Amino acid sequence: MRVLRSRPLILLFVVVGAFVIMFLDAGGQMGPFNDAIQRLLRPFDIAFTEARSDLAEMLSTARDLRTLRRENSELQALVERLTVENLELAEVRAENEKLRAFLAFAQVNPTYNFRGGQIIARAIGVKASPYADTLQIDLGAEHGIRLGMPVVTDRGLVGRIAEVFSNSSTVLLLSDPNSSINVMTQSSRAPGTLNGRAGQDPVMDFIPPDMKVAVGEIVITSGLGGNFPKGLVVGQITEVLHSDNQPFQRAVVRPTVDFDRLELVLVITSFTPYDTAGEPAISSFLTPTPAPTP
Amino acid sequence: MSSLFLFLPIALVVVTLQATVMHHLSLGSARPDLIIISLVLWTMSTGRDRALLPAILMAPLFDAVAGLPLGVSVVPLLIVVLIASIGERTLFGARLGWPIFAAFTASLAAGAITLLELRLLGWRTPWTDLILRILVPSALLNAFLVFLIFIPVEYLRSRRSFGLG
Repeated sequence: MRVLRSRPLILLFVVVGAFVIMFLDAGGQMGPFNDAIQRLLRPFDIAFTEARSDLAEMLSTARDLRTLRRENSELQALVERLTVENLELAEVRAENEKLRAFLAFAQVNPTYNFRGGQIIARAIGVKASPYADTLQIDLGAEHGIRLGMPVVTDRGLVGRIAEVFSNSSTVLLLSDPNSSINVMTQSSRAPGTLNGRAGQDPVMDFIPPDMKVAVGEIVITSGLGGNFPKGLVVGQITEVLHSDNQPFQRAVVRPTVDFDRLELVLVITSFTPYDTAGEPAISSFLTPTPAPTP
Repeated sequence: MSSLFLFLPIALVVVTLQATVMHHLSLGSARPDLIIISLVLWTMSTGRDRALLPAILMAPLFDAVAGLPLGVSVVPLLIVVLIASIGERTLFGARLGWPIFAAFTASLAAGAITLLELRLLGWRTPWTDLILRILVPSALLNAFLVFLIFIPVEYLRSRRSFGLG
């Protein structure tokens, strides 16, 4: 501290150093250092995840017990035990259902290879910064994860791998302004590009003006560009934006995935890129959200 | 060096809390920033010089968990410390007014610098949306959280100063 106080030049050095590191990292030169930080944070992340989970269970149990005590104080001890067991079973059942859903996803899409991992991102970097919609997963280069791989849940597309470390990766959510995905509407087949927006639902841009899109339509990946498999559900149109001075139509899309409640995701490690000559085949693994009645 | 060993665990805890807990406290598009809040309060409690090292330590850790390029948060967090350290009890007579104002101003400044750096690195930064929907609401939320935290901390400090704590 005394050094910092007596030598303000060191601060200048820190600032200049930060910029150098920033540009080196942007050029992919800081991989090992970044990886070391990820390794350093991993135990904290896991510990906090478990602590938060335990705390949530305790709070939930306390709430349940308060109600049960009012209803029947004689059965309090029994109810307490059953409540705890019930919570554990509910947790197991919920996880079981998720895994079953993922299994069904994988079975319906045999051309994809999946890497599934428990998201530690809730603990380490779910939208940690207001300026980057990202999350961390506990799979990295050691598990075969590569840059650009699509990340999905049984509800639909989450985003793509934006940064890979040895045993963790950063996923760029489709809601981030830097995310751009080729999509189309499921029923009218209108193509477009889904762009993330800051603090708002993503918007589907470049919809041809002669195509009709309606509120409630499901939006899926078009597979164009080969970055994503064709037919992954992305979201549902909630608003169609018409403008006389815009050559294209736009539509606001609400993602089917709730990014704040992600626990498990699948990383698609390989898939057959969309053959533009082939007839499109929409995946049937997802139950689309029913369209709202106008 | 001893300061490093003291601050590193604190920095790890604050950064991990930011990544694991704070997004549950989001209000709409406003996202609280525990790192800025803690730095503002830390600077006001201990002074600028003792807050610089935690800022420098937390910056790369935060960049790593937030998916930001390494080094992006260094300058913004140093600015937070500088803002929190100037004008204390000179701009505002009241004790509570300055922390709230400092948290709001520091959040705005840190966010604007972060966005400038990201733009410099080629990130897409839709300014109007980011400022109106993220930056300003988040700064207001940070100021509100400082208000919530400052009252009990100040109460405990006053009790201690009277020998009651």
